[in-house]
Amino acid sequence: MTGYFVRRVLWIVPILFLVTVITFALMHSVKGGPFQAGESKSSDAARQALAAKYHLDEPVWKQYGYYMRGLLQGDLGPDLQQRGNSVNDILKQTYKPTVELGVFTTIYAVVVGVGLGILAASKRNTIVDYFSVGFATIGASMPNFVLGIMLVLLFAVKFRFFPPTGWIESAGWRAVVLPVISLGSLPAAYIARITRASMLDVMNQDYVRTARAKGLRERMIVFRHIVRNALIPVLTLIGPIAAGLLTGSFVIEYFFAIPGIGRAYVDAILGRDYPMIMATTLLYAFVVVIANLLVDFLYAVVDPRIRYS
Amino acid sequence: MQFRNRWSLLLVAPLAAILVVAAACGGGKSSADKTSTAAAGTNGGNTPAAGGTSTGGVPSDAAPAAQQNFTTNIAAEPNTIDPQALSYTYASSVAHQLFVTLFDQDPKTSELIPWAATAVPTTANGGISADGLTYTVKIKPGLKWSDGSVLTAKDFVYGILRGYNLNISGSGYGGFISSIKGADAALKEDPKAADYVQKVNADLAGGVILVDDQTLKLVASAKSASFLSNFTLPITAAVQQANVEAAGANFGVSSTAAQMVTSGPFKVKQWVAKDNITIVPNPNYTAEHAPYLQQVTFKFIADGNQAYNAYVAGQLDQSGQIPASQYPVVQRDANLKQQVKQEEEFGTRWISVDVTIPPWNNKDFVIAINQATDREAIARDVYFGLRKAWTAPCPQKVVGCDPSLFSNLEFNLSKAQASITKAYPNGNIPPVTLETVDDPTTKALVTTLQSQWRKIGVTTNIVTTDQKTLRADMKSHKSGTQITGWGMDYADPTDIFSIWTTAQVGGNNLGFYSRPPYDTLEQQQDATLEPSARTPILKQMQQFLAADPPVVQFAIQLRTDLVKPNVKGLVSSPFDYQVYGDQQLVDVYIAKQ
Repeated sequence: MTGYFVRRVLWIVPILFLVTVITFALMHSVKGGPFQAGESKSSDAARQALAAKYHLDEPVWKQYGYYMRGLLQGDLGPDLQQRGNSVNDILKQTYKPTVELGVFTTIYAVVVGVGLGILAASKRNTIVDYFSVGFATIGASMPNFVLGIMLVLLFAVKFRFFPPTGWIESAGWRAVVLPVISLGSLPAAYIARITRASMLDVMNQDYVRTARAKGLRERMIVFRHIVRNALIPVLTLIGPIAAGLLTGSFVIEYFFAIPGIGRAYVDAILGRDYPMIMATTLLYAFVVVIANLLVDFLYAVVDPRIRYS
Repeated sequence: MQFRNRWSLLLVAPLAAILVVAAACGGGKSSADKTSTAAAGTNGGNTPAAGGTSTGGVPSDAAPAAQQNFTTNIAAEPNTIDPQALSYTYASSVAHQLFVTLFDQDPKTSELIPWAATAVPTTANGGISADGLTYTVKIKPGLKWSDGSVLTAKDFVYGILRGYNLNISGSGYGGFISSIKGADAALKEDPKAADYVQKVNADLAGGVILVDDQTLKLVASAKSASFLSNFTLPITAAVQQANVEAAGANFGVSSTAAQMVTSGPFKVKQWVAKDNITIVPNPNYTAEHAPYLQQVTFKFIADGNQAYNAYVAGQLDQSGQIPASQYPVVQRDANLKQQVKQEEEFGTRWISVDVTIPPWNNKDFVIAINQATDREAIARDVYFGLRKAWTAPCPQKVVGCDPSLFSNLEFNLSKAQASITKAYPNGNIPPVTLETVDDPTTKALVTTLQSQWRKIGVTTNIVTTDQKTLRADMKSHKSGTQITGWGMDYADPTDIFSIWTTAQVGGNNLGFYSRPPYDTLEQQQDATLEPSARTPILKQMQQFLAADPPVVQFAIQLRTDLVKPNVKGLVSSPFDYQVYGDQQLVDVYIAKQ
């Protein structure tokens, strides 16, 4: 199995290389560039000078060569929007809110999703079950930015319980609540559905019936025999969900004005900031690759029947 | 036991993943003068601030110093606050609080007023030479940098020359000021050359001359009525050479902003990437009285609706431009309606049309489209009163602007029908394309234009794209139109009328409008210093533009935002580079509740 994972780790290099090629080609095939007429007061000569400074006047393959040379030395390139800052600087300044948002949202999704799933299965066909299924349905069908708008209008503008914009440093801990709920409700709904189904499946297993026949208390049956086994499929979901939350938060970051990588990514795309687009795409690709590797690893840990060769 | 170990692993694994990610990442002036020192300028002393006290004193109704915090939104994060590298208005809005320029503009009268200079040079005060080319500027004595060192004329010379280094100023105002002697040669130097800076400085040696610590001379390449107005722009601000050289390429960026030595009323406290810039008073500011505000925070909330929500929720003291979709809501709310602050800007909105490709190369077609555009309906139904219907390309307050000269372009369907028939007598009118960004208000505008132009038989194809693609399509003669406009940098008419000159093709002249007779008129007007002689030339230029329009003009920008009732002293400047609100926030204060 160790050999399998070593091979998987080594595969990361060509995968990321392919990501750089595809991203670089796609990015340069899109119209427009970082320095265009009509955007600022600059003259044509000035824009040409700037393009020359960043090698943007050279063939794309040459530009790719410059980029890869820098990348191999750990240099992600200059930020074309905030000239003077490097992309490394920008990522260093913005990674924290993104990681925090991802971690908090994962915790929210797991706690709420697992909690509701357990309650729904335990109280099947009661109001609790209906509520859980309702939450799962709404959460799964509503885009996070729509939910975000509704939450802001209700809890920030109407009742003023939470700030509508900002993050911990500028708006305090309460700023975490609305973005986390907006971003986490879809995965929470998904986890709740899976947990409920898994719980119902386990509840009908022979060993649960045996435990009941032995006269064990219901609480012990639920937590020791049902929940533990029902959560195995849920646990394997957490990896991709966490990766999705870390990499899929740019809409929420933009909307809630959270100073994270997601917002930098949106700004970079809109501004054709090539090095920043490359860096964020690579970073996201790296997170996804690692998360997938982790999931495969977890499968083997959780289910001893799975063996990799 | 085995099961417990698996659980431990499950807990550790996500943490490890996060650590891996972390490691990867780790890699208004109310006065006609800004002068408060003994060396007062030509326009006299300060008038009291809005609170009603004399210069230097805290207004009697001001809240305690601890409450003098002001938060506003500038929508986007500045690329830099290096005054020589600025490109966008929101960046200039911050930099203008940090660095003094020689002159400024009175936000109410738009007149040129001294700031770091003791006076605006005139022929009468001996500041302008007999040939009208050399301007002698005296710097106020006693000016200091925020680190306590003395600010001299040498710092201004350094700043002005630095603005011509296209490696620094390329994407901003670099090359914008071409009227200094030697600028043409400087702008032709190769920025990649090793001795580029030395060559640029040598080219400009006869244009920017240091006389002594308090005096510099600025030499124009030709007589220019707008020459001095350029020295209100942040690109001409003084910067401290030692500070610039110490920061190197990082001067003005977020990571080193707090170390910037400034000369304006404020200095940078912190710049939190993608979130805010916070500035605090510069203790050594003497160009006028010290600011009342103890902290100003510029937030970067990109979504206009969220900025509005943040204002309503109490996160902002000033909202920034209200989104059109929210304005009807504000109008219906008695409380919010009282907090609306609306002022006309020196900014017009138009549709640039590519006059080199059909059908826009047919001037009768352009006239017909102008006449078919119901501007009142657009102002009312698309912008809900946030823009004012306007037919002339120049704002009314601009010297020499005469909107009546554009009466032939006003909305009139029967005239439009006649013009389109003249343009295409056989009725085979080619379709036009309007490219729009994915923004509700702009989309509403293009669909309104589509239905208005259909009335004279013009078919309009609407394409939704992003801003960069839109500009690329315009530059490659593909789309033929671009909804744009011009926020004026200063009140002189050159700033607006020069856009449609051949020299600006490829730059801000997006429609490739090139008419040699117009170019000649434009050069003549700028070279005419005597207002009475200049006005007839400006009139001829406007008549030219009315007969052969380069754009479909539709509105004038109204700066409309919400301001908390306890914020006093805000005087909006109508110019493009100013923050929503006062020119410098130096007279702004928070009143007692």
